[in-house]
Amino acid sequence: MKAVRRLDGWTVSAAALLLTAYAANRLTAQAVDRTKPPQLPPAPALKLPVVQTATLGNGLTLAVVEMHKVPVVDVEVMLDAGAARDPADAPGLATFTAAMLQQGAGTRGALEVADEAAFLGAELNTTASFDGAVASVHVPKRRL
Amino acid sequence: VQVPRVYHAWHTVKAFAEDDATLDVVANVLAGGRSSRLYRRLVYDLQIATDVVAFQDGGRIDGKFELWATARPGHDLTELERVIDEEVNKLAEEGPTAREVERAQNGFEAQFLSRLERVGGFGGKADQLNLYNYFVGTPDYFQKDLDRYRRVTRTGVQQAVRTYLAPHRVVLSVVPQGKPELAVKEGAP
Repeated sequence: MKAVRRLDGWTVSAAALLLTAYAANRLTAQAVDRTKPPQLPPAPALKLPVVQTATLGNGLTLAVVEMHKVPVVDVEVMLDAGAARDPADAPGLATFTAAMLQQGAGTRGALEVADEAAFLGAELNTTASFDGAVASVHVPKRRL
Repeated sequence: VQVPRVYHAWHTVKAFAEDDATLDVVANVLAGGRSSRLYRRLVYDLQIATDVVAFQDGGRIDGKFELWATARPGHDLTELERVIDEEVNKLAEEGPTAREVERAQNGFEAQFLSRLERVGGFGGKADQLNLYNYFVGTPDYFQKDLDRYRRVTRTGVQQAVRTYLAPHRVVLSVVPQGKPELAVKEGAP
């Protein structure tokens, strides 16, 4: 694989969801008139999570979004290793390389990589698009 | 149809019955992901199949356990059948390893959390509440459902394989037109 000259970024987000507590609040034990559609309250204000960024000692940009509703963490390592950098005589190199990452890494073979990820309950993905390559895990917080 | 596929179905139990979660673990040990027993042998080691799938399908009235595998071109279904039988019998005789059960439990727990990440849609919270309401009569069953999986043991898995994945089953061969010799041969293995 062609050397990766620049590391574009590294985002870490503690994934969860914005709960709409609305539906639960409206469910009461009282009789509900189902002949009319329920009156919707005004749309809640859009509150976007804060993105915290920092630069690590190795030059990587770290971005963290905290969401604590569900104890699950998403980690994405994004590298400037997309198909746009494929050499003219090796089309598909970035995609092939990203796919091969799960077919063995370091001292681990394909089945060991799969077994380790499965044991953690983690979804492991390695893909490449035109602009970059991404390795990601989606894993319960206590297994991170 | 370009390549042959063999389907198996065993009569099991309905959703949320005593052995339902255990059979989910059985399916995971046999064919859940690349590290499962059948994927390892059929797809990775022997390279005679391109995929293998297993799942417990519990309905409201009754349930079945399905397992299917697709042959690689050049291989027939009797070859696949032999390996499937070997692995099912081995699991019945020796049971799963502690790691296999824990791996399955960790995977199911992660799936539970993933379902809490979205409010609606297939597999979201609304779907989950509805599923519990339909099958067990209350939407408030999340913790009890998770606990079913946490209670699964090695001996429970072994017992479930012995009880349900017995020789009495349906085997269906689907083969390319004009190639009946690729089907599972009667009396095999």
